[in-house]
Amino acid sequence: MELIRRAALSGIVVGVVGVIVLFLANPFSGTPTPSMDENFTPVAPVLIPAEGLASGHGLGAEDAPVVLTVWTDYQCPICGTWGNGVEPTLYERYITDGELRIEHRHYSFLGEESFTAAVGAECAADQGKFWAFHSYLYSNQNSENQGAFSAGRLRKIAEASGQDLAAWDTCIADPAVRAEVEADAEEAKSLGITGTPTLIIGGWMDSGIPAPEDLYARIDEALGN
Amino acid sequence: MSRAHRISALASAVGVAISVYLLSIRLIGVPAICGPALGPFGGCSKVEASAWSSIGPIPVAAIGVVGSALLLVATILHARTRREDVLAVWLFAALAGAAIEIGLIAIQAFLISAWCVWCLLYGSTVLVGAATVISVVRSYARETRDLTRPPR
Repeated sequence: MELIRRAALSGIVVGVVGVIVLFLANPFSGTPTPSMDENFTPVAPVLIPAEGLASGHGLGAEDAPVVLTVWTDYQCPICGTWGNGVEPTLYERYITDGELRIEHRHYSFLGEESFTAAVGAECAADQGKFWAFHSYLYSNQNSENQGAFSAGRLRKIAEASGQDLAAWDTCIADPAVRAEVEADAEEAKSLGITGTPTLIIGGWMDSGIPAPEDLYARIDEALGN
Repeated sequence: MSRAHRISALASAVGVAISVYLLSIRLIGVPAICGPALGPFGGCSKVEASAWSSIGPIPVAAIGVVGSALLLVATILHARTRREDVLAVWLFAALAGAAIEIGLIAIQAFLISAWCVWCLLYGSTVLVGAATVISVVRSYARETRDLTRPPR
């Protein structure tokens, strides 16, 4: 029975240590680990919209009959699938025809790098180049809070996406921009959003990525097709 | 195979299946079959997207696959051999897994504020497995005590 007692004790100790390690993996606990090389060349995005189709925080004609509002966190892997996979498909299917506009909203909740990435995107929006920065973020996603969106790497992304770096640098240091991103997250919570990506068309809201045919059916229904 | 062994084997096999599913969707990058239709248990996107779904580069689901597979193998081996060292490994894995699962359930409740039905089902398989191994250990302890007790 001595072996059994030792096994029981070891099991509990290993379990408790496992829980502690999990808690320490929590991104809210502190500074991100700059484990990634800051001297990198950002990967270009899958989708580069045609002139005039990206404006404000959106993609598509401003007078498009259907508006799809998408709340995401730039570090969320499924949001990466959305940005790199679904958005380009919707672009080809609906946006180039002027039928759909995608409006982006920030729901940053996965840790500090989610907030800094969203702040960078807001500063790109100030220069009228939100969508380019947004798409670059998704193309350069990596592990969460491991330095993929460190200050140095975000600056490289800003440069690659055509931002005026001097203006962008000044903007990201402005606490008011950070406050806007935090206010967006609070607004998401107040809307009852519990995950990312969350999609909204009119009165319909869903979290995650729906099956393509379901999403197309939803957009077609809103278009009256 | 005793009833406890059968329950543990079934729970562990279900645990392997769920964790393999969760690991595959994470690696492929698609969301779990989940969502608002499941009411309060439909927060899978939020749980999957949270930083607690991995420890560094290792997805928690991968740890689940290894843990449940270990529990399954230990259960079957113990059912066949009744060896004390196998029971010790089974007990160790079950208690470690149960402690981690309780931590993960607490993280969903208090830190993520969302419930994922798959994670809860997986957690149930681990907790059921732990309960069964404890019952097997109690039986084993009774048998051992009876054997070592001097005859009246």
